[in-house]
Formats: sequence, C-alpha cells, structure tokens
Amino acid sequence: MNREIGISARAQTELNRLNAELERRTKQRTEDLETALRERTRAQAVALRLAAAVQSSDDAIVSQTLDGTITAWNPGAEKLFGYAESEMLGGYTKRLLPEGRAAEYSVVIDRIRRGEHVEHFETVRLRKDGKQIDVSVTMSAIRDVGGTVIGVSKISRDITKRKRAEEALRDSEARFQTIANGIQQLVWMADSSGSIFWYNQRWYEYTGTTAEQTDGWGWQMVYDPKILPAVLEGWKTAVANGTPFDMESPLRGADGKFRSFLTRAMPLRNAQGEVVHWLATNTDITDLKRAEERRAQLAQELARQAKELADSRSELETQTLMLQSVLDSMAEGLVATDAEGKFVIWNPAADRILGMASAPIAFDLMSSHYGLYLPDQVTPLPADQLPIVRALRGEVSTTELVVRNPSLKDGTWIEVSASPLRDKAGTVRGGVAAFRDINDRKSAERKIRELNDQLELHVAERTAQLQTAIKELESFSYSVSHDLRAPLRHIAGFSKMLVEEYGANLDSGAQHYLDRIQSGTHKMGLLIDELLNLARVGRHALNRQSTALNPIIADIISILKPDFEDRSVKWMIDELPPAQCDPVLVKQIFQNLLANALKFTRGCQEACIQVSCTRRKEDGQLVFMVRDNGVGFSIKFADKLFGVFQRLHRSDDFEGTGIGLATVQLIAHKHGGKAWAEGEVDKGAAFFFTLEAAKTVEGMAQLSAVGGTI
Amino acid sequence: MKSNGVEILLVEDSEEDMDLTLHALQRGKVANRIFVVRDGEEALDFLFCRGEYSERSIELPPKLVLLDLKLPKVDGMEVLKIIKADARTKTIPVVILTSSKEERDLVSGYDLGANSFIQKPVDFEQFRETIKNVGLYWLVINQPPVLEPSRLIGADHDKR
Repeated sequence: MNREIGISARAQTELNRLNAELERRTKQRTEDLETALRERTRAQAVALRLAAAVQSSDDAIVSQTLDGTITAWNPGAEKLFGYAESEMLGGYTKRLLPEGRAAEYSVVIDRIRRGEHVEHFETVRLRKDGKQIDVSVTMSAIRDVGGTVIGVSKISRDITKRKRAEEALRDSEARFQTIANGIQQLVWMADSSGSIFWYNQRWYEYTGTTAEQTDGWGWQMVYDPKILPAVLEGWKTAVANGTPFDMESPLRGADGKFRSFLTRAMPLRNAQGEVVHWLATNTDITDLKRAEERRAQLAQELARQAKELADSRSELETQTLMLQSVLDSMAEGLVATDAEGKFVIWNPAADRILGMASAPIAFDLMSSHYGLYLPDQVTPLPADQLPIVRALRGEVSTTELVVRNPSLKDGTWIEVSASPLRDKAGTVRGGVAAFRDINDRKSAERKIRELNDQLELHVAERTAQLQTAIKELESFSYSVSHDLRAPLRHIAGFSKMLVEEYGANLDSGAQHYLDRIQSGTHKMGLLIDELLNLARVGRHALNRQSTALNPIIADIISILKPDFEDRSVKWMIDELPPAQCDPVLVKQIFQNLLANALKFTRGCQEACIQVSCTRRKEDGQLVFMVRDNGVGFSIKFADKLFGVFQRLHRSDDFEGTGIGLATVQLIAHKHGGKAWAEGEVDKGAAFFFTLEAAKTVEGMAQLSAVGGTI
Repeated sequence: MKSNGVEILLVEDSEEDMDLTLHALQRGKVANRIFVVRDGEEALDFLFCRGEYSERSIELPPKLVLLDLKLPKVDGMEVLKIIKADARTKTIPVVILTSSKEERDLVSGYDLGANSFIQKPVDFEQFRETIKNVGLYWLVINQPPVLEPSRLIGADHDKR
C-alpha cells in the first residue's frame, strides 16, 4: 500500500504540473488570439477606411501590374476616363494612351520598375469619348511581402482647366506683347518700387539701347543730364504716392538727336488696392510740338502782316503824294501806260519836252500827232517801234528820236528809255518811258566827231612822217652798209696787197703799222656788220610759231665748232620744251649767248656751258638760261651789259663790239619778254631770257613800278 | 676784137673794187679774159652789142657777169632785170657782188633771176677766196644750159 500511495502521490504532482502548464498555455494562446483578433480588426478598419477614401476620391486611382493589366479602378477613374470599373478591370492601361505616347509611358514604367517614385508627371490621356485630357500623374510601386515590385499604383488628376488657364494667360501675355510692340509709343513696365523690368521693342529701336543698359534705373542715360533731376524727382514722387506720372521731356534717339516725348505712367493695383506694377508709355510729340510752334508762328506772321498792311496803306498814300510831286518836278519826261496802253502817268515835263499835252489817241496815230521821227530826221517813227509799244511787248529799249511839230519847229533830239512794268509773276502789266532833251549832247557829239576826224588826220600825218623817218633810217643803214664798208674793204685790200707785194722791202716799223691798219679795218668791219644786224632785228616782223629749240642749238654749236675745236668744252644742253617764238630771231639769241659763253670761258681748263629751261612758278612762263663757268662779271654792271656798245672787258682780253647782248635784249623785247644776267667775277655768268609778256602778279608789279617812276 | 671772147664781164664803178676784184681773179687763176665796164649803161651796151660795142657779136656772150649793184646811170638791179628779160642774154650767169647784206637786195636780186649773190667781205683774204670760188664754179664746174648749144660753144673756143 505505501508504494501505491507513493506512486499515486507523484502522479498527482505530475498531473498538477501538467494542468498548470496547460492552463498557462491556454491563457497564452488565448492572449495571442485576442491580440491577433484585435490587430485584424484594426487592419480591417484601416482597409475599410482606405477603400472608402479610394472610392470617394475625385482623383482617378488605378492599380496595374507591370505589364499593364488593370487591377483596381476607382469611381474617380471612371469619372475622369469615362470607363466603368467592369470595363477596365483585367484590361490594359494602353487603351488610355493617345497616339504617340507609348514611348513616354514605357520610360515611366521603367522608372517604377527600378523602384522610383514618379510625382506630378504631366501628360495627356485618351478618354472613352475620344477626347484628350491633360492629366498630372503620381505613380508608386506596389511590392509583395518580399519587397519585389509587382505593380503600379497611379493617381491621375485632371489638369485640363489649369492648362487652359495657363494657355489663356500665355495668350493674353503674347497679345499684350504684340500690342505693346506694335504701337508707335515706347512702352515700359516697372515694379512697385519704380524699377523698370520691361520695355517694348520700340523703346530699344528708338533709343538704340539694350535691355542690360536700361533695365531698372538704367533708362536715365537717354535723358539730357540737365533735365534728368526733375524727371527723377517726378517719377519717385509718383511711385511713392501711387499717383499717375505725366511729363514732357526730350529723349535721346539712337541717332544721338533728342525728340520731345510725353511720358505717362499709370499704377496697376491688385484686389487689395496695392500697386503691383506701373505701365507707362512715351509718346513722340516732336511733330506735334513743331506743328504747334508753326501754328503759333503763322498766327504771329498773320498779325504782323495785318499790321504791315495797315502801315503800308498809309505809307502808300504818303508815297503816292511824294511820287506825284517827284513826277511834277522832274526834268525828264515820264509816261506810263497800263497793259491796255492807256496812259496812267504823264508828267508836266513830258508836255514840255514833246511840246504837246497828253491826248487819248491810238498808238498808230501817235507818231504823226507828236511829230516823232527816226534819227534820219525824215522817216516818221513806225508805231511798232514806239518805245512804249516795245515796252508793252516786254522789251527794254533806249532810242534816240527827233521830235518836230508846230510847237517845236526846229526839232528836238530826245533819248527815250523804256521798259515793261511787270508784276511779281513776271507778267507785263504796263510800260514806262522816260525821255530827255539831248540837243546839247548831240551838238557835243558832233563836236567830238569833228575833233576826232581832225585827230585822225593828225595821226595819219604823223604816221606818214614817222614812216618817212623809218624809211630814212633804213636807207641810212643801207648806206652805212654800202658806203662805209666799201672804203674799209679798200683799205684792207690794198694794205694786204702792200704787205704781200712790197712787204720784203719795208722795215719792221712799216710792217707794224700795216698790221695795225689791218686789225683796225677788221674790227670796224665787225662793228658795222653787227650794227646792221641789230637794225635788221629791229625791223624784222615777228613770226611767232611753235619752235623746237634743241635742233637750233645743235645747229649753232656746229657753226661755232671752229672756235672750240682745240679746247675742252663740256656742253650740257637740256631737252627744251617747244617755245612760241620767231625761230630766226631766237636762233640769233642763242647764237649770241653761246658765242659769248665760248668767248668768256677761253681761259678755263674745261669750259662748261649749260642751256636749260624752267617754268617760273609765279606765272608759268618759260625762262631760258645759258650759263658758263667763265670769267663772269661784277653784278653791279649787270644792267649795263645789255646796252649798245657797253663792254665790261678790255678788248685786248676779249674781242667784241658790245652789240651782241643788246641784240639779245631787243629780240626778247620784240617777243614781249626780257633778258637779264647774273654773275660774279671769275665765277661764271648766267644769262636768262623770256619770250612772252609778263603775266599776272609780276606783270602787275612791273607795270606799277613803271608807273611809279613816271 | 678785144670785146669778143670775153670770159668774165665785171661791172664795177669803184676803181678800188675793180682793182681788188681783178687782182683776186688773176691771183686765183680763174680767167684771163676779163672785161670791165664802169656803169650800167655800158654793161648793157656791151651785152647787147650797142653803141661803142656795136661790132660785138651777141652770139658770143661772156661766160659770167659779175655785177655790182650800185652803179651810175642804170643801177645793177635794172641791168639784171634787162639781162634776165631778154631771151638772148637770160642764160648768162649773173653773180651779184655787193657790200650790202640787206635782205631787200637779196630778195629782189633772186626774184630777178640772179644766179648767185655775194657780199664783198671786208677781209681781203676772204674776198679773194670768194671771188676765186665764184669764178671757178661758174666757169669750170657749172655746165651751161643746153639751150642753143651750137651758139654758145664755137668761135669762143677757137679764140682762147
């Protein structure tokens, strides 16, 4: 029994432990279950709330698998896209894609697949009724318990209205810009602080500025610095008070010129009445202003003219009175007609000179009425030659006439000056003729004519006398030529024969005297030849023609050759321009000058003779020069060189007659030019000559110098 | 007949010039038969075989006439004119000798048909040379014109 009692006691203990364990477990389980239950209930409640939210959302909430099969479609989706849930569940999202959106869709799906979240993706979807709608889509990935992306949840919102509003705003903005850029005014907008943030295109065109230059407060550069302070003050005041700004001021254009502008700025306010922007225009009022000025000027001019008119009227009256008294007191006859030939002026002197009063007669009868004759004193003046008739034809004339009528039996010479009277347009409105008694002048003229005739007679007589004198001179030189040369030749000839035939019988003294006779006759022969030459040059009629000078000079040099064959002579002959001269006489000039140059360089180691020509700056005349490096002369005798028989060297040193340079001067004078020389003892000489009359300044100077010495 | 067969007729009134010219012609050995007349009238008488020279034959003219311009009675220019106007004498070469270089003498002398024109130089040497050259040219170098050749050549040669 005890054992049994013992076993039973242990079993009881075990049982008790087991029961207790069971109890604890049951309790635990119950607690777990209760917790699970509670959680599920809460989860269900959340799910219900979510479902309610999805169901009641205005946004379209759609779930789909990654391949596009729609797994959820809420009423919002039905409303937005027009498809019922039953139509879309199990269907494909692609039904909603308009043409051309597939690529964009797959890009977005790829982003989701990679686990990205896409927010507010704006795109276009196709409704069931075929209309396209603008939507903003937010998409997120749906993952399984393991976190793998298995689908997409999309919330789409209709943004068509917003888009339209935006477009409308854009359109409105564009319209504003178009208008603002299209109008002639410069337009700009400033913010509430007065800082300008926008200008229209015209502003930039007119000012030639850029946005960088004039934005904000940069616009000050287009104002004249002098008036800028006033503009700034006005603008700042307007901005501070929110009152419209209104001002006239010049703005500088792209061309740098200022034009007048009227600037008007208006504040734009929001619903609260606060200034948001300023909108302003600059209107070019230059032309307007000019027109106004012009109008003011015209008004002024009109007033001035009215006054002048009034003034001139009274002046006219005064003048008419003056004119009348002038006409009355004039010594000259003065008559005037209107365009029809009616005399409107006929002064008292006209009566007196014509010996008859004015009479209302036709022009045809006027000649016979007043006794008007042509200067031959017998032909009546034809009516069409009446000075007043010619004046009415528009001719200005001065005519001498004779008047002879019963009052003027002896006849009177008159001179008539007539001219048309024209209005400002040049139309002939009348004619005026003034005439005076010229009897005195006529008799004076007669006297002058007589005196002239006498004078001419005297001149003719004197000319004849002079011509006789010239003839006598010519025959004198002829005689000199014949009669002086002949005895000279005889002396020379016989003395020569004496030497030749009887020289052997003569002593040295006699021989010497005979030599002297020979050389004396030789010199005198030269003298006579040159004097005759000078006379011949004086008589020579000038035959001016274009003459090439170089051949003439070459010719002379070849003639002179025997004189320098045994000497060293360097000729420097420039190419000379053709000269307007008498070739015969100019050859004589060069001949004399070159022979002189050869003669006076005789003592030189190497003679150097130069011929050149320059064009004088003052009057363009050609100045010819012959220069040598010979013995020269003292400049104080330069004037004497050209006189007949003037010699500066002893004839033992240099033979010569003293006529050569006188001939040169005579030939230059015959051409209207002159000859002169420059030189220095032992430094050579230069001879110059011109072949034309001096012109312009120098000519005038010479003339006045001559006048001064007289 | 001394006035026939004359080679040169010298018409010169100045005795001095006559002497000098003859001297020059002789020294130059230009001609031997020189006949001198002293005025224009005598020159014409000689050439046209009149008066003192009426026995002369006009068909035997001198080969050259040296004519001074200033001559008594009939002046040189007039003599020239007459010689050149007559068909019988116009082929005789006439050389004018003068002191004058005056152009009017030159121009009218050539106008009237003078064959040459010589200014007597003062220098005797030159004068001699000139006279010699003139004589040589007109007597020796120059061929007389072919007009009436038979008359010009003939007795003249025989008498030389």
